Amino acid sequence: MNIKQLSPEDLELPIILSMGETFPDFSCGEEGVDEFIHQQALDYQKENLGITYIFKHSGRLIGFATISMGDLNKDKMEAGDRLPQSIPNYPILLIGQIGVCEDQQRGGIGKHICDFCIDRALKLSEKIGCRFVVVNAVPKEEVIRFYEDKIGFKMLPKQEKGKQKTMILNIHTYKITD
Amino acid sequence: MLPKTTPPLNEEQWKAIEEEIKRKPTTDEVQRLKKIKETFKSIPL
Repeated sequence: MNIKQLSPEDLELPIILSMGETFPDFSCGEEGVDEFIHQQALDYQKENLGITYIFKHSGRLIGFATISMGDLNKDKMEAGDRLPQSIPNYPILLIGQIGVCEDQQRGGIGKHICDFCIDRALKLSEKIGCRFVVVNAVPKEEVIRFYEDKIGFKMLPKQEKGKQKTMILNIHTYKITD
Repeated sequence: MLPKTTPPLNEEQWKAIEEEIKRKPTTDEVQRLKKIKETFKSIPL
């Protein structure tokens, strides 16, 4: 069966995952991500730990992203850092999970979903403060390249080999009303 | 697999963040953010 390669324009507007929705046929090829959308996303959302936005075409789930708020902070404070004014942390929007079904990968859908998350961060930055979009990427070269080259994320230096890679995208002080 | 939290940052990572905070956006970055804003303008927060 030939499967049409969709473009972002073919997708319905993203909506928040709702009660009772299941997507047993969805697979992005990453077992942990599939497990999340199949079994955990609704409970995660019910607990207000992360909101899952789903992107469909003709009722079929094509991709999703789960986002939540977080912050970047420093591992160890030095003696000189103990005054409150020198203990910054930076508010972030965390892309906790993201997946595109296997037959629709490499067609721009993943970028579209990331852009949607960046738009959430831009809008949030005017309501509650948000300076970075962060993703903890699977440590695979093609995944890292996607986030760097297609989206504009930067990988933080000195990260442990073989573990998730923290990548940041600075939304600067750009205002949505500009 | 549940989403993973972002681990606390070491000195070098923190330095990279602080440099990023001070950095002015490039014209390309501003254009990209504007384009994203335009793409999703019909979807309120």
